[in-house]
Amino acid sequence: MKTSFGTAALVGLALSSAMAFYAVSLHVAAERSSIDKVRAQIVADTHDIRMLQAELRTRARLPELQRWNEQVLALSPPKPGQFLGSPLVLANYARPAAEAPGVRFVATPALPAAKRAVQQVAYLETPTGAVPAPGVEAAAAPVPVRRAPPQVHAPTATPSIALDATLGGAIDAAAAQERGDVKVALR
Amino acid sequence: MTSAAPTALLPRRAAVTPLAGQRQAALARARQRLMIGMLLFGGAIGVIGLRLLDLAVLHDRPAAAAEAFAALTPLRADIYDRNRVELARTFDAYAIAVAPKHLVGEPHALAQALSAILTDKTPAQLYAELTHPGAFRYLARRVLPEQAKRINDLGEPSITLEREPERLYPNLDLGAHVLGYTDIDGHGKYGIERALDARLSDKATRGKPVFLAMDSRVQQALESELFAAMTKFSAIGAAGVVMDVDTGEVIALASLPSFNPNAAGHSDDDSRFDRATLGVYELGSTFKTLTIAMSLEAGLIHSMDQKYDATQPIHIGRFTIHDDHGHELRKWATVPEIFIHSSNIGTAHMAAELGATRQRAYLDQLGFLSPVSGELLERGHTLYPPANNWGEIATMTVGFGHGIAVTPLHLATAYAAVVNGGVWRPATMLRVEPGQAVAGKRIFSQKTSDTMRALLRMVVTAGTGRKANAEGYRVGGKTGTAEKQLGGRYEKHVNVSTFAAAFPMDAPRYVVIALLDAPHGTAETGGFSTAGQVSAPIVDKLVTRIGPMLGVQPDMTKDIDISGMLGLIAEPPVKE
Repeated sequence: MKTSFGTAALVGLALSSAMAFYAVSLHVAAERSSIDKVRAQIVADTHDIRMLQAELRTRARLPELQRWNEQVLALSPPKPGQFLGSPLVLANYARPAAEAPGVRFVATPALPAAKRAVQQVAYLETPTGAVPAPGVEAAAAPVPVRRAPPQVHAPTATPSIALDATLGGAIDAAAAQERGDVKVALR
Repeated sequence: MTSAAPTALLPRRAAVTPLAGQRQAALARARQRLMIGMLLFGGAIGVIGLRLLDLAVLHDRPAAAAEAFAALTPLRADIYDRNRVELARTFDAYAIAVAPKHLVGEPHALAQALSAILTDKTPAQLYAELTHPGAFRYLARRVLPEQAKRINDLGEPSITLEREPERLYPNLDLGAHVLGYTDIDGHGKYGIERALDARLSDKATRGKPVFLAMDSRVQQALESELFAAMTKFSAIGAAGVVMDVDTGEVIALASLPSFNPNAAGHSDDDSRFDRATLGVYELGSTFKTLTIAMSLEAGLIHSMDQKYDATQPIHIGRFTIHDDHGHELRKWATVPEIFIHSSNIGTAHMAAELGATRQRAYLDQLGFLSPVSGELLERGHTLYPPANNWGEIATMTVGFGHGIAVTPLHLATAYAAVVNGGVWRPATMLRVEPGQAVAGKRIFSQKTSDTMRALLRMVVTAGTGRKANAEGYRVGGKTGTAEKQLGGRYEKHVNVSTFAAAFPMDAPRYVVIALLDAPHGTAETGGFSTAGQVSAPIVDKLVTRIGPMLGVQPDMTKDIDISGMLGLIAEPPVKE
């Protein structure tokens, strides 16, 4: 009886082990199958993306865009005068006309040419004391204007564009301090 | 004793019986264990067998997955322009074929069903194919996968589906002569498709796209401006090239009329003919640039105020070399005068001084005596005098661009060498990575190149090429108007009008060639169809469009210094 039980136990153990291993195998196969499905989906999606890209390119082909331009948009190449020589010129375009009496742009041109990828431009209060029109004042009022710290040395390599060298350096430091929360920064 | 004997035997029997029972029990156990063992083995074998069956029948996925991923690799490599704009792509398509002799279904019904899927075919056409006496017929080529699936679902066993590539050129005829096209079997038949056929279709390399040197925006601008001029001046054709002078990259190359590579079979031979690489033309006065550069390099021109006799036509043999009507100098002229007035007589004297041997050697070095460089196989053979007949007359006429016929792309590579500092590099249709340009060979010195830049700029500011003066772009160039040969005779009123230019001349970056084939003058041009009137304006408009795209900023405050040369011009040049 004991022997038979032991044998049956062995058989059961063997069968259960085999079943367990087979279950693992099935699980692996199921996972592999799902991965294959994902791969197939990737292939199908990639194919669809290529088709869509080609369709977009075909619909937005350059001869077609030119035809639209000739018939509707009438855009023309820029004239030499429309090219700006420096970011400072661009910034001057953005100057609000109404604020002109009290605010002007200055730049920090002291950086060497190779390092002028970032050039700071900032609004600064000028000492003219001119009073803008009421409507303009209301628009300009929320913009806080800080004065530059007094002990800042001006850059000596190149004078400021709009102001003398001493004041230019002070403004440069003020602009650096205010950058990010107050004024205009060109990058 | 008798009774005792059995009694005596009993224990003996009892002793024997347990022994036999034990043996039987042991035997039974052994059999039982054997049976269990066999069952276990059988079970194990069964499990293995089932697993094998499972793997073989139900789980043949790894191979399928690999195949599916292989489908991500196109059957033919994509082609992009230098900015990764798609120029040619391949998609999966199917060829639908039928074996009419093995048709199972009823042909009429099948033709109706197929016609509903293949909408470009009529039931009658399909019925004719289904009942064709041949063994194999194509019902349709390049059918989309969705259509192929619907046809497969019809269940007709005699209909087979074969995977084949569908090549698409999204920009239609843009850059058609560069791209070329493939045949219905997917093999390159023209252009880059033909030249790089092995690279594009090889299993090992087709996964990576090919990047052309072409900038599709510049290509569009070139084709557009050429087409506008061709239409305006009723020319039979046009060609143009934009080339990077430092790398030899062909940024744009156009030949008009063009064709749609998606349906190349529907175009005519003239449309497929590439005038920029296959057509050879006498390019006229554009060669004067080369003659002067050669003379400078050979040390024959010591200074710009050196004078040549342009007082009267040259009579040599049965030929007379004279200046064009209205351009006669009738004096000893300085080099700048000869150049900006495009004097044939003065240039002929320079060429004669240079001599045939040196002229031929320079032209050979500049690639004019060989088919044009570049990957394209559609390359015309240049026409020039044979070496044993390259005498003084030939030297003189070649000096001002007659008696030698080359392609516009030849001229572009030569002009690039003239303005880039003197280094000739072969043209290439493929994108060159920064710093990877071929070394090239030096033909002219930097000094010669600098002098030629000033002369070319002067032609545009004060000479025959003033209509090419794109504002702010410092264009320099040379006009070239040559009478066209028709039937072996020069036609006086049929021209090939070419303008060869470079910009910006203070630091040249690009060469531009614009050619009109047989243009007609208009009232606006005073009836003239010369290059200065019909081709130079193309360069003006083109450079204005492509300059910003190519990173050349117009600048009215910057220019090459030509003041010294302007002082050598005795009188204002006549207008061409």
